[in-house]
Amino acid sequence: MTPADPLAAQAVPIGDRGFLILAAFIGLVTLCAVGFVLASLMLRGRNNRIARQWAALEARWDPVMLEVLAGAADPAVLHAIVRSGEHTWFVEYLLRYGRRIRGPERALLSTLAMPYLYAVSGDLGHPSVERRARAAQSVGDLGGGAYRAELLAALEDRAPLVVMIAAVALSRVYRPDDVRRVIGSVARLGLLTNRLLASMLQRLGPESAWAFREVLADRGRPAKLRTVAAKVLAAFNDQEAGANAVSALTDAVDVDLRVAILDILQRIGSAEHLPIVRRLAGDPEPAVRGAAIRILSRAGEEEDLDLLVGALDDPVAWVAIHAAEGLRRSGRPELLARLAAAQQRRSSVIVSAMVLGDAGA
Amino acid sequence: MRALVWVVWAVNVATLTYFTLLASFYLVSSLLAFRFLRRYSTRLKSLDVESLVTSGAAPPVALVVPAFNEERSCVESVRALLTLNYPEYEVLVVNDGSTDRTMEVLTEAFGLARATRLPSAELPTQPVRRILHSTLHPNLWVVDKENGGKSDALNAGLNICRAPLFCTIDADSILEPDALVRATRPFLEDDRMIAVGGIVRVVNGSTVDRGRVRNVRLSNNLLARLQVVEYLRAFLSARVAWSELNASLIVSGAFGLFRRDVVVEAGGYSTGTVGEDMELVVRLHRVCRDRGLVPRVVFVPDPVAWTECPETLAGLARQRNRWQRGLLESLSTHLGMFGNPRYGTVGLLAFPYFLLLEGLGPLIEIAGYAAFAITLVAGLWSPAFVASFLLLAVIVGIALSAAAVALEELTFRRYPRWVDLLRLFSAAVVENLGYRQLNQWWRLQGTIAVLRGVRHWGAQQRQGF
Amino acid sequence: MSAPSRPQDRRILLAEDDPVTARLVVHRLSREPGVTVLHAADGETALAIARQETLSAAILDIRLPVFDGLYILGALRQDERYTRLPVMMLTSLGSEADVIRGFEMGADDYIVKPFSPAELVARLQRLLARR
Repeated sequence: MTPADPLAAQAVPIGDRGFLILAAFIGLVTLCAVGFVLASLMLRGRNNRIARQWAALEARWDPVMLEVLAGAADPAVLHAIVRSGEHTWFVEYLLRYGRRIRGPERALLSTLAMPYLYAVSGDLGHPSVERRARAAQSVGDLGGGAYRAELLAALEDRAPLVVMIAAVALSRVYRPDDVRRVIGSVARLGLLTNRLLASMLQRLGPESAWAFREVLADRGRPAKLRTVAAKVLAAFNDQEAGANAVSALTDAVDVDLRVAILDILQRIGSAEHLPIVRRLAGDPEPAVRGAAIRILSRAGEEEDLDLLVGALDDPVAWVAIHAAEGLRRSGRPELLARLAAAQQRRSSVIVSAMVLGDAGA
Repeated sequence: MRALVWVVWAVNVATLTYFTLLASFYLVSSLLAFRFLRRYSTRLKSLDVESLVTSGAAPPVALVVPAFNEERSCVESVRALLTLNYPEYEVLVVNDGSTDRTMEVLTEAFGLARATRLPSAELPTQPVRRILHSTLHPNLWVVDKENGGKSDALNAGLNICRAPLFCTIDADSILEPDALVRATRPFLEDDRMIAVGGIVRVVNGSTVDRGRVRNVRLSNNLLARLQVVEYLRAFLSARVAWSELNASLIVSGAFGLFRRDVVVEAGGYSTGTVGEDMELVVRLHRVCRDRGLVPRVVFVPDPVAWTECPETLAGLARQRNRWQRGLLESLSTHLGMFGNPRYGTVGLLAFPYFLLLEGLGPLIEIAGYAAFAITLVAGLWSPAFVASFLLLAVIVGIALSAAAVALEELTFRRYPRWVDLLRLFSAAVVENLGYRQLNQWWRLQGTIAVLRGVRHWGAQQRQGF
Repeated sequence: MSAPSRPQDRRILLAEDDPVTARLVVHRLSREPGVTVLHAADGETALAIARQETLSAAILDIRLPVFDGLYILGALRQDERYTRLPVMMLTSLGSEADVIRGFEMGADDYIVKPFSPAELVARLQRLLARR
């Protein structure tokens, strides 16, 4: 019903047909929204029910569970009160304790979980990533060494999350031959930060250091993987990594890799490594310079003091901090006088740091 | 007369187009958000987030807390910040030249003593009077400086920050104990990540006990309830969607985690705008892309910071006015990114959306209401038009606000009482029957202020934030 | 000089906010003869308990609401009744700095989470036997 007045018709940019289309579209949107709202109300009801069920299960299982864990009751007593249909809940329940327990009680948890894990492990082939991840976590946390083969297979999963969980779980039950496989699959998780990758691989423990030395020495491996290997070796304070480190440093180009190698030398290096470190103290990359200066500030010798003083003027504040710490450790009062006299940008702050001591170092 | 009719026609066209675009955006973002949140919350429930991070891979974090005249609440806030569930972190409080007893109160409560701390960066700030260290809590430091505004205070905190990540938080916000664990996870999973935003929730009405939110309840204040719905739509719908498109332009200053080195290299916070949090993120996108890097900025909805929202019209009006100014100032300093494919989805999608629909939107919408009124009064209307207008201005809005509440219920479910959930749904309706329009009016005033060139220099006014 | 082996009334403070861990420790410890476990879920309650009761030992989680474990340790050592109270810290992985600080402030032992409840009890018994 457009207005008869031709003047009026021009003010209104939408006709009946346009309106109907719009109304239909918005009607659809509103229907979806209403559906949404109803779904959320139903979900609230369902979740309340689930919470009540959990509370009932915990009330039934907790007393017996605590007795079993304390060694005062046999696991069979707890199994007796797990009804059929409650198996997935029970595994979930055990996982909660699993996260907080180590040592002999862990073996008890595995015993408790064993009859139910087979069903859970079936989910390792499930199309949903979350189900696979959940299954990997369950068999990894509670399965002891019984599911080692399944976990190794899970290392090849296409979802990074599952690979991560499998790698972490394997670190508890791996055999020496597994190490290369674990490192290899973790290497495929390209986007994860070096920090996280190193932390995961560190769980393999110092007995696996040989594999990381191998990776570090292998020029054919990607720089990121070699960097992670170097970080793990540093975390292990691996005494035998020194030779690898120096050799890798000669032709390493990647900044993160060089910094990680310097970190190894920081921890396990000795006087013989100082020359190469001194060379790197003048590197164009600030991170490399900083790491080298940091080593010299703690392990440097008399001849390095000049270098450190020069580094106080480094354009990058970080590097200057390391140099300042080194000078403070040297405990040489005549240096104080020299610095105060010098026309350096940061000399006043540095002098006060040396006198008062930087608690935040 | 004809000219007036033409003008009215033009405005009506613009308004209907604007509403349609806005509605389409909210619809698409709700769908994207739903898809993402479903997956995400299933994943959260099925996995132990904490063990993956606190297993030794947790990167050190520095909380930078700018404070201005907070004598009444600062001790409790800082105390709460000191008991977060995170292995390695520091709290750096920056006293921005408070004129009340903030420093005295802090000194006494935490046994602060003068200390030195070598700077890790040299961003220009107002003079720092002294740096203090707590003798009772070794991870608490306080920077006492001359007033310079929030950006200036943040930069001063950054200057002594050593951790690879820093987290900005308002002095009166409450972080949940596991917020840092959850917020740092994206940094571990993707090494291109430069900033992560968490969700900011409205605390009004909930009980806060010694720095922790105990019972989550809806406030009885209508404005607060409306803002809850608004925040849910803004965070759960819109920000999730932008995050999915890798086009996040906003990381809230009330709770954001950033990589220290990238921010320092980009020059720290800008003191020339009231929207320093948004301006930083826009600049970070630009700086990274200009160098050929593809930065990732995401929003994760599980780490929570609780904050108080204004409960009076006056307070709300001021806040929205300021936000709008911040938005336009941040965008206008980087206009070269508009529609520029060099900046990916940020330049092609986010920037145009924020500038046109959010920046100039209030102008169009208010003009649209005026034109609508004229159309009615002058008898130029048709039922089709009126119905379309109402559908677009009100009904779609209700549907989408209700959808946002439903999203919240489907995923995080922070309001345990049935009555609160129902109240939220009714607030979703009311929100579109005047509250949203009022908001647009306040934002219009902000837009006009910017267009006129009025800019607030935080340093020159002894203002709070 | 070992303490007599008859069970005495030992009141042990456990400051731990995670309910599952707390349940585990309380249950395990309570099985020891003569032991009463006083559980606090946050720092303020823990201090209140320490003030009102006479403790024989304390197990403190480092991360607690209101006041953290290190703060409580400091407060305990300031109380003249507790300058030599056996204190065990519960720490998490990655918090070596907390451990060092704990020892500096006078903690006697620490155990890293996740831990074995049996081991915790054994180490606590050792600490108690020394007094």
